[in-house]
Amino acid sequence: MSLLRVEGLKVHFPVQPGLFSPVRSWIRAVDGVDLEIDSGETVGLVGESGCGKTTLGRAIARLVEPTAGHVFLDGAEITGLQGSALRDVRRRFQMIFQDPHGSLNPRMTIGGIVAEPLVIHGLERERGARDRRVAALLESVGLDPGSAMQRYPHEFSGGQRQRIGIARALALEPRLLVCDEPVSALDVSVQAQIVNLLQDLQDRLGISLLFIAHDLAVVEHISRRVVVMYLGKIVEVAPSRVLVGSPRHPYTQALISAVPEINRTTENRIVLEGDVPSPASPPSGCAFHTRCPIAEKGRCDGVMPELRQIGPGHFVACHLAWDSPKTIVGL
Amino acid sequence: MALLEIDNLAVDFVSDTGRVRVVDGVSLRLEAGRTLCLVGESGSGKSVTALSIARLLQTPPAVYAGGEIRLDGRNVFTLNQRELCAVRGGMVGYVFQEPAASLNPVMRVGRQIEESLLLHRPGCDPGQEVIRLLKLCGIPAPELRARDFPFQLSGGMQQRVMIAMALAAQPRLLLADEPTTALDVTIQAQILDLLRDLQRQLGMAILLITHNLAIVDGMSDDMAVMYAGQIVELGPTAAVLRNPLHPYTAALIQSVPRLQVGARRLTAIPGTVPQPGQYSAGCRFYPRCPQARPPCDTQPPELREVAPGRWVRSWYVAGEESGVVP
Repeated sequence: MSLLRVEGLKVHFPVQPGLFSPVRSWIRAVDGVDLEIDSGETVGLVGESGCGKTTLGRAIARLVEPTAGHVFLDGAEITGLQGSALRDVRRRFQMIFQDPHGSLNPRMTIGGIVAEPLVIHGLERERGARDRRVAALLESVGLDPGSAMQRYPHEFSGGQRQRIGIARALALEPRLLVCDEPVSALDVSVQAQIVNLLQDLQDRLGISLLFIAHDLAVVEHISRRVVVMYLGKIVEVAPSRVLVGSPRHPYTQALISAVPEINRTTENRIVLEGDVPSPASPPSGCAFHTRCPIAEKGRCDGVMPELRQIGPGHFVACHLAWDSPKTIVGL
Repeated sequence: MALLEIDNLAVDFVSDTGRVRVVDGVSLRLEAGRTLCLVGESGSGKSVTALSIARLLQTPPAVYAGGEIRLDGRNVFTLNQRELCAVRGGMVGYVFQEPAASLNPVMRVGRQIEESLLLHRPGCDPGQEVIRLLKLCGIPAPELRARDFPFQLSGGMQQRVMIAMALAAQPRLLLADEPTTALDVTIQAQILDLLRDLQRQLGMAILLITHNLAIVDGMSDDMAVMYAGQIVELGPTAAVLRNPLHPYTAALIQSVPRLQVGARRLTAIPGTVPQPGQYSAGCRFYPRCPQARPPCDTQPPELREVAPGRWVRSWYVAGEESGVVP
């Protein structure tokens, strides 16, 4: 059975010109997403800014309230939980944030930051045991607890701060880590350290990861399956090798082709025109048809394609991909 | 004579805690119509080098501690205020990382471009020229967009406006400091294509500053890799990327995750980028270097030409011992 199951999740934000004025429209940040993550699995979530990937991660971690839909953890629904019931279930999923500067309290010591989840959840009440636990956590993320525990966040580099954030997230022994752009604020040479650390921790602890990032190369590297989002909807899901090797959705193809790489020619790159449309008024039919190089008039702009299976573990939401794979522009 | 010549530039920053050197002996040449990429991680001094070209650093805290920068043969450090104004935004155009932060939020974008035209090209018809520049930078319906405020435009469009503004004075050198870092990959591809096209049409020189090794390929003729305030490797882009000679360059290329490679682990560089003022006594990369050996720990290496056009600052150069340096 899957660890996490998301069904028809929607998160809509109201657009209000003023505090008391009527709601003018709704931003459909996440608009009907189904997703499953198995125990010990890493699922990557990619898309451009504004596609709803961060909101989806936050809705799963219950940091924003879903407008509709259900989230199940270990088969038990967690949407709608309140108070102590919500706090209990939060022990089983934790979040790692993008900005290692903004996500650590500058006035707390590292020891205090990593111990805080234990204090909140009333674990390891005895001081000595708690300190030992914090030391073990810091050690597991590659920091020297002896020197780190009494120091403050500003004394650490970005990569080290991200390690502290990971240690804090691991304090409650969660089953699922939602990582929202955990490496995008880091230098390239340090990025690799953190990606390797997450992989090692997963091998050792068997936790599941939802790895949200805009960098497809990093996502492909760390994930078993990759989910591609566009304007609040999933457009393609596939095992990571398949997604990168033979993507079926034209958006995925453009996304992959836009990734700059050393030693790759830029000659036959697909460069998408224009920007992502506003999620307040998504285009009719397939939301991608306004930028799609192969969209068919009267079809793609009229009917919204459903996410349908096209291969083993491979789902795509595109009319043209279902017709015949040959019509899609090759990479 | 090259369009841009930097000789032995040194820049210090002064603070309460002392004086630290953030750019240490940087020398570069950039010919008209060519592109040079300056690559490095945060704190390597690449932006400080670029800002120094038009003396844009605030002094203090910055102190130009040595060296010379010549634009078309004229030393930037001896220019008076009026001459500097002709250089800033005139001969040298800048495009910065965050278009949203660089544009004036309460001014229509057309007006902002006009400012540069009025200052640097008093003869032209500003209204028409703004439209032409916006069109040149690939902005659809330029007549309408010129009347927009920055917040009405997307990040990619804002960056196009920034580029249009930088091009307004017909610069001979365009300095692009991380121009695509704040943008999505699909938009990044658009902006890089635009810069390439513009260079082909207008023939200006581009100094592109980036931390992203992947965009260097295909964008530049030459590249310089900076580490801890110094250039550690300099050479033709294709040669450096395919056959890096400095251990840092090699490690940096290795640590970039790539599509469809399928390695289980990434090759990370251990440790962290050193803070200015906290460099090791010998080679500054020595504490993180996989090839470290005596005298790396005690003697700082010089930048030397190990093969025609290939400059490396390292005691260890890949392939040198066996005599197979290209």
